[in-house]
Amino acid sequence: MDFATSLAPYWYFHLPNFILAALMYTMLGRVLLGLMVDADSPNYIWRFFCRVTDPVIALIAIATPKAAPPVVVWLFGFVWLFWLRVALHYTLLLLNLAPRLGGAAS
Amino acid sequence: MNRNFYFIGIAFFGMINGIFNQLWLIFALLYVQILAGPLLFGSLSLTLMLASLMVSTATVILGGIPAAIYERVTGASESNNVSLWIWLAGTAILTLPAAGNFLKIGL
Repeated sequence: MDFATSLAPYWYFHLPNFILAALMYTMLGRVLLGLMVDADSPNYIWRFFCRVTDPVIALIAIATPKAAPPVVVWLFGFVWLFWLRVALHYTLLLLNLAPRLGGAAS
Repeated sequence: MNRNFYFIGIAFFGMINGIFNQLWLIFALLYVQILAGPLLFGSLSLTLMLASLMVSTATVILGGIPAAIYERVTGASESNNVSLWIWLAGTAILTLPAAGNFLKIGL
């Protein structure tokens, strides 16, 4: 089975999973870059990370006590997104709609 | 009470759940292996550590949701003793399934 045919039947899983993964790792990138640059830095990579992750962080901040500093909220965002990916796969798995672990089709 | 004691308590409960909650740890381990296995060089130790960290942090996050709701409902501009108590209690309640293993095995 080639790459395209393995992805196509499960696009409804792979597409959101890819978006969540990209967000998750961008969030991690923001945490790591945040150790080196200022919060208002004009660095274009930093601004890109902020622009991509700010909407997610705004949502997460609603469910996080205000005592948590920004960097903790970013790390919480990373974990939220990880568990969202798990929840997405597990839900589809329960509905027998997700690719099986190890790549075998269900 | 000093704020740091709340944070230490919350982190402690999160850690206990992350290490001793067998069900969630194994569940997280399965998914960390799939989602982040290559990033961790396929090392089982690192995978287990990340899985444990994910469960710990999820415990802290979920325990904080009632505290965050309380803060939003009361319109508090900053976390206060009540919300930090709620956060601590929420985390402690989520840690209950792991308490037996922790008391039996210990750190």
